[in-house]
Amino acid sequence: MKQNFNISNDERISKILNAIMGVSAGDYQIRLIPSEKEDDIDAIMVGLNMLAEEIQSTKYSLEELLKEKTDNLSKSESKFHTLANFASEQIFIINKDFVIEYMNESAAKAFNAPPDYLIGKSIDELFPPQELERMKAPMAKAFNTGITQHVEREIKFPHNSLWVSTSYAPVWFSDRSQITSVLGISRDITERKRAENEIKEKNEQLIKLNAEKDKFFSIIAHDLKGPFNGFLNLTELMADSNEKFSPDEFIEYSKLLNEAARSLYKLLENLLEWAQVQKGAINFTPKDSDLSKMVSQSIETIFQRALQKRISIINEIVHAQKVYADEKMISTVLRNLLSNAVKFTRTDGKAIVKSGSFDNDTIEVSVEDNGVGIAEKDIHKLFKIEEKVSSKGTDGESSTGLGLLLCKEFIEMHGGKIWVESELGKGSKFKFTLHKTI
Amino acid sequence: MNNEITTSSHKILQLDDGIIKLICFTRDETIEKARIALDAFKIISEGKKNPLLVDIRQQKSISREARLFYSGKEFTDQVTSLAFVVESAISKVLANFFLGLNKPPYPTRLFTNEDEAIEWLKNYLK
Repeated sequence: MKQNFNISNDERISKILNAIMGVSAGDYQIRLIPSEKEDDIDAIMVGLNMLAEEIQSTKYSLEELLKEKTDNLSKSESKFHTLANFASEQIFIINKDFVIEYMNESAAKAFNAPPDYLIGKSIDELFPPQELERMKAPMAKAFNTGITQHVEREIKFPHNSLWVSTSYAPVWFSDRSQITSVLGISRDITERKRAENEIKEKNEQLIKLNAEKDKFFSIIAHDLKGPFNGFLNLTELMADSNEKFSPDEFIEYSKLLNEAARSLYKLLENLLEWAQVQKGAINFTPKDSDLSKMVSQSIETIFQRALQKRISIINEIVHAQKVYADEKMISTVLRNLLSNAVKFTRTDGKAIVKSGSFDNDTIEVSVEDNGVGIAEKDIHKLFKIEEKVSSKGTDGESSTGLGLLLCKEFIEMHGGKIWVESELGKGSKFKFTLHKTI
Repeated sequence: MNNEITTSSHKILQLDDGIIKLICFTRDETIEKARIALDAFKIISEGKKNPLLVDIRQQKSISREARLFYSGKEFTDQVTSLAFVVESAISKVLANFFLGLNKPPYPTRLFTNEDEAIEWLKNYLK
């Protein structure tokens, strides 16, 4: 260990300089041997030795620490990959420029590509342009607010679409000073959505069916029972006291009976037809048909009643106007609308049936009267099964509202629409559309 | 009662006022020598905490392990304060390294005069 006492200062300084250069180059094992002089140069040598040893030791500790951390990170990453790839959810990490930083196998499967191929790509390259804005919005919000976003939406691809539920969670730096990326976890909820829609549809059907049932019972309970009571009373009176009737009384009662029977028959006819529609048992067989002829035939069926009220019915339909329609259904529609026109128009009134062009393929048919009209508050209720709108005609004729429901069903089966324009005291215009002959 | 022990590298003795003095007459301090010195120290101090005067005027080097041992809990549990007596530039470097890198958890100072060091340590006598 002992250095030659006679070594010169220059030589010792030269050794120190060489040692410093060695340490600078990473040789921390270098050690200088001080002389016996124990002067400042020796002190520098001792200090340099200690510094080199400290650096060497610290370097070793840091390397050990780095190795340990790297091992831990590697294990942690391995666990994350195993977990992420085992999950059925689609897991991905997107950076601020919407570039994919990570994607698990489940997410990559949606693109028919391995994760390595997709990592590094922008989402702009992977999704249809019309989907991008909707997709980026919750990601940007997670970035800007630091709050996890939950979204359920439908993604439309050229040949299919799927519903996904996605949570976007911000990924922070360890000191939470900055958001580095957004972690997304998506789940395919297409089946769940389909089931929900099915339940919603079924529910709507059930509500409709329930309303139909209520309507049906309401008709049975009130509209059918009332006339039948009158019918029973009259026939009872005729059976018990027929010998006391004068010929004139007999004729009058017979007329009343006939009128009640006609009214009941008409109601039954509508009821049965409506029941057939609800059961789906009615056949829709459209063909090229003569509208003018259908209107004329319908007018004939209510002609007697119109005559009694001295109501004139005018057919302004262009001769031989053709429509593409199921004749039986459209005749029912016309009969009901004309019957209503006569029912709600006072004596000496009039009803007109006319048609006009609605658009290139469609014509508009209207049944107009100058009758009592409909209050504004009741107009929107007319074609709804859940609403109860029945009122008496100007001569006390009964009405159930069932006829208009039937009209709506039939017109909609033709792909047309039906509506009413009316003002109380100023008459009504019931209008519907039909396709012209193809 | 023992009040002086000499090992191959150290001499440990209790001064009249209760301060313990540790003279390093080894040139190169190692962890092995440091352990023996601590055992001797414990015998002299009878397990009580004492101010310590360390004379490193003859010392030329100290290993990193020895430095860590002197700053470790086993040693610092025995000491209330520490005064180094230094003389040469080398002993000053050694002491400063110890103070700078190992930072003992009790009052520590460097002295070139032993009497001044003892006076200062007296402040920490119980």
